[in-house]
Amino acid sequence: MNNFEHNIKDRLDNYNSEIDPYEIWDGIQAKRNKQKKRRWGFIWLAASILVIVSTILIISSRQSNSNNNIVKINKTDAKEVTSKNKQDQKDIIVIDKKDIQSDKFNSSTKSLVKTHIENLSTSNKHKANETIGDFSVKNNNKKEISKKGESKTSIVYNTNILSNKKSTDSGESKTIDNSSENPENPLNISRELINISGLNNKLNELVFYRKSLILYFKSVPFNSHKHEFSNKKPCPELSLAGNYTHNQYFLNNSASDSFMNDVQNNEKQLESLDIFFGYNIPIYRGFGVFTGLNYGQVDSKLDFTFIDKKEFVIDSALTKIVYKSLTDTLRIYERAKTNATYEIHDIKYNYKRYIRVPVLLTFTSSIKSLKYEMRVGADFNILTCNNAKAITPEGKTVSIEDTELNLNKDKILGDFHFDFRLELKLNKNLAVLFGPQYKMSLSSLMHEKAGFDQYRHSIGVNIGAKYRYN
Amino acid sequence: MQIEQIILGCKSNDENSQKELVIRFSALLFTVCRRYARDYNDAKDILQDAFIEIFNSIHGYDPAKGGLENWMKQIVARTAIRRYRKMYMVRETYDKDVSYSNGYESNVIDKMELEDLIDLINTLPFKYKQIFNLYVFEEYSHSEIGKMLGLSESSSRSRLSRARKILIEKLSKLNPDFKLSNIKF
Repeated sequence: MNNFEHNIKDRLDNYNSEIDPYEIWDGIQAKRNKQKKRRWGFIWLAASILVIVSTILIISSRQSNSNNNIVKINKTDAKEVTSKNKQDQKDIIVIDKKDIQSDKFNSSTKSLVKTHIENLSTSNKHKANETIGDFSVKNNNKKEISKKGESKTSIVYNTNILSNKKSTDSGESKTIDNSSENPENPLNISRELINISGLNNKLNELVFYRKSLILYFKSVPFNSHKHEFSNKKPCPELSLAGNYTHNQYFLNNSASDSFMNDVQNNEKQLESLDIFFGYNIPIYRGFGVFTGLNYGQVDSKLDFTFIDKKEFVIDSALTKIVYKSLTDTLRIYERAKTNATYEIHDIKYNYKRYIRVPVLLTFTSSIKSLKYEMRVGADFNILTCNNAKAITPEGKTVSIEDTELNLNKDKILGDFHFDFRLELKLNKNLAVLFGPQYKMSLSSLMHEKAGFDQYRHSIGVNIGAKYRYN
Repeated sequence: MQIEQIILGCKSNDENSQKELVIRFSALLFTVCRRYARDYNDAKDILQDAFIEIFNSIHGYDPAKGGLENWMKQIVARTAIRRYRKMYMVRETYDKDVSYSNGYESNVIDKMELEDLIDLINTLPFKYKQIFNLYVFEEYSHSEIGKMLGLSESSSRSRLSRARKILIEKLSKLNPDFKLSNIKF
């Protein structure tokens, strides 16, 4: 320091400017109150987001469960027959033999059904046929199973079985014991069927993990002259992040056996690599729009497949029984349907590559040196079909081109996207970023006949680094 | 209230002690703010922010390492610098005229009103002013300034030199007797 500087310092060192300290104190109080409010505002915002996401998860989970309980019965496949007792006509459903004939029908299921039918018939002095396809059940307040001729085999079932009243031959009414020991209890029938057929194992959730490499550019305001970020000039910002996402897929009831087998025989993990270039356009006061292009490739032994059912024709007697008995036996219903019908075609689309285009609204702000960013919007996934195969009723797989099916193979699926990221600035150009990500697929709104339930949620973590190019 | 009591009170977040600290040191610290701030209101704002920062970090104050006044002055200086970095200050210079109430002799600085002297420093472009203030009043070394502002040591030196030159030129214009040759570097 030279004399000139010393002079200035000496003169000003002990100089006290005129200021009202009480005014300063009032200002301090006001600022601290404002900071508290802002902090609470942030906590409220985070809590609100948490509540919204949780609510969506719970509602969707319930929807998924309730979807499992929905039985789609083609009423045209069932015929009513006249009954001796006109009062009971509405309860009688007759299903032709062909509807339940299948050489692929699970033998253990057949025998179980037969056993139960026999139990019913024994207790009610009725007869059971030797094979599933050759019996019929009649119940006109009197429960009976009677053998039909070879030419017309049908099952007649009275839904009164669900009521707690049934009549005996003598016309006396007695209450059905719905306890777990009672073999007539439809609940027990369906439970056993589920166990025997192994469907309970097959209906596990599929859990996929997705790893992504994200690379995106972001335009941020930058004042090159001052080497400071300002509202004047944009500058590119490069982010490199890894993304680890936990995806849960719930199998829906149109998933085919072949797909189920794939799931069981292969790993349950599906990994994908995403490369993403994005661009954020600041609009107003921290708000902006984010868009870009994501290329993803699936790496797994398990085909990432969507399945369309070409035709659903008819239901079996068994499924009718179970359907009428319980709401949670949809699996049996579907199982029986799949096996009992000759006219089902599974069409498997194998998607190994996809392109994703996000359109997100972003909000960026900071608390001291910690910057945070929220993004809400939609991801549009364009799935390019690797190959498509049709499964014949005999189980043979043929190329989709060999069939007469004229189907649009490429699909566009939508995801609701929310993520929250925190950025910690390490130096002028470099920052680390991390934060959770949530996605809810909207795809099933567009593809009702998907092979597994696409009301799926994925929760992930973004971890990465960001380089700001000055 | 003794200063030690005030410090202890501030450390335990006692509002009365905090208020007492503000009343006692506002005037002193406001001078520091004036040297960095663009105007009077900005200076008040910086002082309020600095006091909040002081209350938040007073737990880390160690009397053995230096006096409270110096420690607070450093916080005020850092707050002021951070504020202007944050505000992305675009305006580089201020064309405010400096008026002096008295005539000048050879040692014009000694004769200047202190308010005028502060205003003179405030005419410096911000990038020179902050280095001049940090070096002269807060007594930081060039390497410390460099680290604080993300500059090289030589940049800090050259900016200080430039600040000095501008101040002398301005003083020369105001008083012809005040010449560069009179200044011993």
